[in-house]
Amino acid sequence: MLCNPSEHAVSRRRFLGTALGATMAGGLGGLFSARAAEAMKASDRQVLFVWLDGGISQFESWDPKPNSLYGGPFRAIPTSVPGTHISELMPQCARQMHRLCLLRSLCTKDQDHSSGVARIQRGDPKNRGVPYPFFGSSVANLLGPMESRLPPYVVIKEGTGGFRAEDAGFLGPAYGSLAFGDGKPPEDLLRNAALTEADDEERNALRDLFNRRYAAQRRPALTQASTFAYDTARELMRRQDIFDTSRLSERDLDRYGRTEIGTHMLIARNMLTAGVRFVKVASFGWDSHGDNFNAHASLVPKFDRAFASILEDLAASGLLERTLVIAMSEFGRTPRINGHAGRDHWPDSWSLAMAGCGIRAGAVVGATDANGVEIKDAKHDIGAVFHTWFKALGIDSEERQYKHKGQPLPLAHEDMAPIKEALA
Amino acid sequence: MNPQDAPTKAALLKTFQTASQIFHARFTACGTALVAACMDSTVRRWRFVDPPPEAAAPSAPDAKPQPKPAAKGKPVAPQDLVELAPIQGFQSWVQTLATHPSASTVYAADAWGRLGAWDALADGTAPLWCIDHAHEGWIRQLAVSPKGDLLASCGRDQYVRIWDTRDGRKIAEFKHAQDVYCLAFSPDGAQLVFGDFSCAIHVADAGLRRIERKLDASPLYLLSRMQEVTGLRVLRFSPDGATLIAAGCKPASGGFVKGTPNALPIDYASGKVGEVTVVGGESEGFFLDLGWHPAGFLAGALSGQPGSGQLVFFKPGEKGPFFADKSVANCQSIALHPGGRFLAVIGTNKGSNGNGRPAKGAPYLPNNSPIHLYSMEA
Repeated sequence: MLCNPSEHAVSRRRFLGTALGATMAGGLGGLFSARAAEAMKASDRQVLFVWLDGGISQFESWDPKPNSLYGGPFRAIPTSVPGTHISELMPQCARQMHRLCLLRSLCTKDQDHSSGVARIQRGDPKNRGVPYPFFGSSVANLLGPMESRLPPYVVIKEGTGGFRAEDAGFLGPAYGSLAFGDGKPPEDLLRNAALTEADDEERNALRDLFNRRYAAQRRPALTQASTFAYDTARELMRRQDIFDTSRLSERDLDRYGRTEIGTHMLIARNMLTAGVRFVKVASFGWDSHGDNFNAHASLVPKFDRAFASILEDLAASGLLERTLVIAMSEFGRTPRINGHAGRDHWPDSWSLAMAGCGIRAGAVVGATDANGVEIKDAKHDIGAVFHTWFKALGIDSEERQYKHKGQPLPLAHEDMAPIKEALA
Repeated sequence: MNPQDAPTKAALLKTFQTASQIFHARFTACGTALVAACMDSTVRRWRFVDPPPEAAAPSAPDAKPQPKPAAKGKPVAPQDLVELAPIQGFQSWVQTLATHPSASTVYAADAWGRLGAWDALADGTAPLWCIDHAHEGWIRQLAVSPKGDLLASCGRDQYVRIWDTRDGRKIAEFKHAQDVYCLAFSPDGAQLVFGDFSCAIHVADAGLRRIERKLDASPLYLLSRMQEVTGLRVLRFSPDGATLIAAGCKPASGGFVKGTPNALPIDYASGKVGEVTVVGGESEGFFLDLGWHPAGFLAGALSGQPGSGQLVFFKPGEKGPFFADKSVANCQSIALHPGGRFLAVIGTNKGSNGNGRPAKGAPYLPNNSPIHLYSMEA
């Protein structure tokens, strides 16, 4: 789902106002228990979610079928895990395979972008009459912000940025995503140059005073979100270093690639290091209905370089041990090659890659047949994948529930369970 | 060809069904057979049951058959094609082939670097010669020199290589800094031009000793978001060598690769680009193949978007085509029969695209490329 321009025209004032509105409308208190909140505070787990919008081809990435009916022109190459091969377009990821877990048995239901993007990112639960949150919003809600006080759910994408409340579904706008368009913070989020730092501090002190007086007469939950929103904005103002691309080192730019996804992945690394709970890097333009093979020859190596580099860096810094890393699209691409040398949408048998905390490193879960059309054994829908991710983050999605206006709601599809083979 | 006899349009004679998707097709020099580079890792071959009158008798690969001059009067349609045993032994799909200008040899290459030569008319399919690692990976295009002594190849490994057509001996190579998409020998055989990833055209001597100059087809290049789209797919010299046609697509987007077919006529001496031939709008796709008709115009195959496509005739330097047939979906290649009275257009089956499975419970079948045989008409 592409954001429309109006979604991005969100100023600092509106961003804060939205969060405040959410608090006044229902607050945070009803959404999770005090016990869970305590557990959340203790958790240091983070998520890097790389979203390849439009649909990367599984054939030209994680599940190549060289010299087969639908295999395409590319070869498969060995990886750091003996016996596991991926597309020749991903030589850097091949060297990181011992850190990755490939799921080659994805079978989902939606073959349209318009509905599929949201359906996949919401985990496609049973219809409860309410919009479920995107995975980023779920994590922001279930694990909360980290001690850094930076926003818990950040999106780094091309184009404009802004606050995207609808990601949060029934959780309410406080758990929406904050998008950094082209790596930059939302317009007007930063302090106006005409306002001195001292004046700004004075204003904030006054606001804090009013907030304390207001909070003293009400339940804390009602003021939690507003305090969080203001603090987050102030912290972002202080931490411009994490999204200032002029500070990226030449060596890192060479390693990650001087491309959009390379730069965005570097900012993501900085944000994870600085303490953002959930960082989503969104890359667009993967919908290769035409000229699929030249498109992937252009796109995949850029992703490969950036993704492999961040895996390497997260592992080197120790962050990978507590960061769940995911790379996926809304579906895969058809085995059959159309008359425009393209591949169309294919939810029937596709792949994703995971790494990091709770994930079995070096594993390949599931397999497709020789032509990549059918899944050989167990098929896995996105609901099972959500359970797997929650489990990897230490969240028991089979026991725990959201509570929305008194209604208990499962975290993920209740007929599905975590994929044990993918878990450490 | 007498001007009043010059064809101005084409009429569909017959469509032959095939079992695989075809990228590229050519008639043999004698005109008795059609050879095709296929996605199923084969080179498929069809022989005319009743060859058209222009066709010479089938000949050995080292013979020099001369097509008969075009017969006068109404063309006699070839009645049928019979498929010969396909040439196999490729490791991956075969995107490109080239035929010898006077013998029956076909040269073909796969996407994993294998290059070889075969007698297109032989009953057997043993190669005349074969090189397993002619390139590292995808060989994109081949071209044979006008005399038939040299074979040029280019690929994703950024190399351009020249081979001896008799035995496959490597004669020369040039390492470029980018993926090379297309190439052509000049009509006098003295030069080789090749087009790269960023749509620059490099002019080299045929021995690849040096790059003499660079021509610009960069309007065919687009950076769309993160995707670099190379619109340049075909290079063709005019028979007199005065004009080089750089054709493909002026891309409007990545992903679907929407774009407008463009053919840039480049004055070969000055490098100046003349009036660009543009066909239709952004849904017409790429010129994927071009053939010079003896009457002095170009026949082009347009890829279109899934389900559409065109056969067009145009004169270089004119704004648009003077003939267009939109009945063929997703044209991949165009093969002009020697003498110019027939041509074969390689299309794609209708309904080749679509998300998911075509129908629940139905078998999942690959696409294929019908061969549409046209006669040229005044």
